[in-house]
Amino acid sequence: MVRYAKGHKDASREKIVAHASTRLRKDGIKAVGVRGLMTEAGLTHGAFYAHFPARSDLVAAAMDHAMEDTIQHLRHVVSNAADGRGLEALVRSYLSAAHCAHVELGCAAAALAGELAREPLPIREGFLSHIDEITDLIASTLPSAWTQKARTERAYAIFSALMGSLQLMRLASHPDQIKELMQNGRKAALILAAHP
Amino acid sequence: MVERCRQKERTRERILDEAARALREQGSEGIRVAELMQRAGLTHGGFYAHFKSRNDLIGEAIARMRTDSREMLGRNLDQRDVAEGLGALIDDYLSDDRVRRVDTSCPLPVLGQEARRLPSAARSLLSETIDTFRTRMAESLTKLGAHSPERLGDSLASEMVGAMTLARAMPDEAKARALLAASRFELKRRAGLLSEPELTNAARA
Repeated sequence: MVRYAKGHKDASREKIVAHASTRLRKDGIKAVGVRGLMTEAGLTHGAFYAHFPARSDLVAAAMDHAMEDTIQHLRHVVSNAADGRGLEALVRSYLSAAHCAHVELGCAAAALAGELAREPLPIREGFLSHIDEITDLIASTLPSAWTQKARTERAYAIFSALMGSLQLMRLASHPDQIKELMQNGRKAALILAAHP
Repeated sequence: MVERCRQKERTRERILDEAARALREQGSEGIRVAELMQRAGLTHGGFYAHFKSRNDLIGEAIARMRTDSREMLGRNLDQRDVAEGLGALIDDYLSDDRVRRVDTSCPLPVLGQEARRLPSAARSLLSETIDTFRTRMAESLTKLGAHSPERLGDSLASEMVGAMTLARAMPDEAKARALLAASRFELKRRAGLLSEPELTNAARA
């Protein structure tokens, strides 16, 4: 019997989830198959069930991981920005050529929202709580003179606009069209943040 | 002879209907030739009398979505007062019904993640669909005297796509409806479509 170091099980679970979270964003929820993932993570098929009761548990864990990854990145961007420039930094990072090109490392909401409509309720509930974290972060960058309700509503509008712009950028096929959508999307998000 | 041509045309339409629906509901993964043919009540082998390949079918299905999308824009914007038309478009695009009616709604919110998985001919058609949407929004906003109508048009179009995508991912209908109602209001406000009393009432609420 091979004895593994303490924490080995956690480490391989983490590896499977991290790998699934990029595959999920790149190829969609349907494309995440247990056998393929385990092979890519360098593990045996049978080992999967030591970590997850079923595929749907992995999908939920991978989605959480992808959303947390997204939120952590956005928080980092906002907190490293100069005073009062948090939203501008977030918008520039969200609507960028790199984010347009790298769906597998990017915003999980933009990558997965369309597919979630077809997923079971617990997965969608998990998704919503993460969306609320993103909109809370956006709301925290809006003028403190506004009411809480106004900030929350505007944060949803800003996030919808950012996500929609990114989706359109990814669907567009001409470089000029992508650039225009990016520039107009950035300006529009900042205008949304400026007027009550 | 003429009857046979018509028959063939009708069969092709039926396959395309099924393909467009599968693409919207399940993405390109949903386009499985054998299954589609079965749903259209046809044999698998018959497929190649109508389409060269699966990619050819996806391209045609997207071409049909482009037509649907133009019709939706026309239905709301044409032969109407400009402000009324733009308001109708926002209400229609973000209506509560459309959260569940994926099969007859704008393809852009559904296909956002599919871009990389689609054949290049299909992507060009989607680019055109996006441009038509942007152009028609900008035209309406120009007529309304908006400041930088192209930028505002892009912004409103993006938000419409994003809001519908988010609404469909919401865990319950009440949340989806609240999000859509807030988006419709916000979009109309920015397009300058709301009257003074509507704005004042909202500020009081």
